[in-house]
Amino acid sequence: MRNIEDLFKKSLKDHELPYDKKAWSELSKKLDTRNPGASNGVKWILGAAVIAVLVTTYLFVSSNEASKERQAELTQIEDAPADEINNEDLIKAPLQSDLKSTDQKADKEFDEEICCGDEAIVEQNTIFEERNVISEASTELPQPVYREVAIEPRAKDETKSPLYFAKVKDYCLNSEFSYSNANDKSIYLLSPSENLEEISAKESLDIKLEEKGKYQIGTLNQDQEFKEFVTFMVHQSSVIQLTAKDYLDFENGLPELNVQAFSDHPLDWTLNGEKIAQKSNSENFYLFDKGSYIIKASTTDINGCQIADQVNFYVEKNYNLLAVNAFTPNSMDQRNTSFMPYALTKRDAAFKMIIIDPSNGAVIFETMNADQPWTGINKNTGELVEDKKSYVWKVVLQNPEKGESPEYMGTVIRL
Amino acid sequence: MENIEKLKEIVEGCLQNKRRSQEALFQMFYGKMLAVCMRYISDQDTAQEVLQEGFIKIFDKLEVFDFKGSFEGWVRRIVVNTAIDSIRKAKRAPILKDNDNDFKVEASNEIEENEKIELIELRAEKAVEAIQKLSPAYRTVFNLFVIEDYSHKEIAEMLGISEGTSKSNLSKAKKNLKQILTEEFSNLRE
Repeated sequence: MRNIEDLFKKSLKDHELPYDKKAWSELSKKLDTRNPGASNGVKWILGAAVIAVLVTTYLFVSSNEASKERQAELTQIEDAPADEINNEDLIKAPLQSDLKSTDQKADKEFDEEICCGDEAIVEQNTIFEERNVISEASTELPQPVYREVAIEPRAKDETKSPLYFAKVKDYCLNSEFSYSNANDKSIYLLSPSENLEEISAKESLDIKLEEKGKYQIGTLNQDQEFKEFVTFMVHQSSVIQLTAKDYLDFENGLPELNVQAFSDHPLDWTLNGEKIAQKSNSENFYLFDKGSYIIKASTTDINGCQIADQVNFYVEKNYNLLAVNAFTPNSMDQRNTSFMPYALTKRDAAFKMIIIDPSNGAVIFETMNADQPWTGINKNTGELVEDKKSYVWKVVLQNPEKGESPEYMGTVIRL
Repeated sequence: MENIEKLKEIVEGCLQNKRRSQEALFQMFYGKMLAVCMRYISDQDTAQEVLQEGFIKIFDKLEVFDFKGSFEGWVRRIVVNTAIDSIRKAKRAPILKDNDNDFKVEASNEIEENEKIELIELRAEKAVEAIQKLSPAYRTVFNLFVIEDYSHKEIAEMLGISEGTSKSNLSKAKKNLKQILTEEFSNLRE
């Protein structure tokens, strides 16, 4: 069971009938009878020209001869072979200058219409009679007859119609650009590499300016030639290229990442979106906590273009003063005989460290000097603490770095 | 992409009034567009004339096509509009009529409300034949709504009828088509 709509839709979706050459020859004949090659515009010009010739002929004749003679001349024009007439009449016509742009092909058709088509001649006579009436009725104002004839070709002149173009400031490369066409006809944006974008009447264009150099906004004439009305420059932005190592540097006991930028301008830095006060092109960032960091530098270049670059960095574990988790008071290796978080020996930071015995919560050691590590002695008993047991250490920094927690804690096993 | 380039080349030629390009464009869309015309106009000669008229309009209007939408869709719209104009002009078949006496199937007969039909497939020729049996009023709305995907609102605007008339014509067209197909099949069985 199927829905009738679906049934018909499916059956007719791609329905196609075989090509019939005869159909084309019929259409071709129809096209032939419509004066091939003559566009509507040309027809108007031709029509105007025909009227102009006839009106001129009439005015010329009427000022010199009786109306009977006029009629005789018209008949002569109708009867004369093509090559004997129109050229001369055309030269006489006051519209000669307006017809200059009409190509030879159009002239030929013009000849044909006058000399050969019965229908065309009938039309001419009719028009002639109408003009005759107009010119007689308005003898005080003879101008309109000429103006009406002459105005048609000029109406086709695109540059005469008022067009509105908003001015455009210079842009930076890869900027988003938007332009509205308030006119009733298409306008065009021509890029530096001569790519043409059409902005249809009453439409807007939104594009990304991906070429540097001069962009132009204007129109196309009938010969598809571009005429500019507004221009603007698209500037190549300078570049900030940030570089950073792919690991943290603990040389100063801190989780440090140095980021360098190639830029001549003072930079604005952000760390995970938070502004950093520094402005130089080489900055150190302390990344204390595990997680992702985005370091971004931006500035405004000489053309006023905003430029920026960023580096992404991932920290695998929390910073905990680089403390070891075991020590051996009796070891032969001097480096293992005491406990002091490594960072505190490198950092010039005031601190207090205490060691707690987790079994009773008693503080068994305390120091404020990185040169006095815990050697495993319980200050309350004066003896070495029990081995293979975890002890809790806690450090409080007096002046932690910006973004750093003031307290650290961990455990250490006495082996 | 290659086809679009080829089409652009043909259109370019048509804009320069080149006969060969015009023929190429005509040949490219003839089959599909004649099929469109045949759905609106039952007489084949008239359909051919409408198609030719449509193509003359296409050649005239080509310069305004901006290649932003589907070219075939654009061609089709012109052909459909030409077909509708032709029906409108035909004195004996007013498109605005709600009840068409010229209908070949009695619409007043009790037809099941059920639109489902015991058919899995319908040959295109049979479908066209059935559509051609509808009155121009029903046929046009059915074509526009079902095949061309116009909304009732758009159809109402195109044909100068109310949305209600468009809906009612569609519903009657479907009922009649079902009856036509049912009769067709019962004849086959006999």
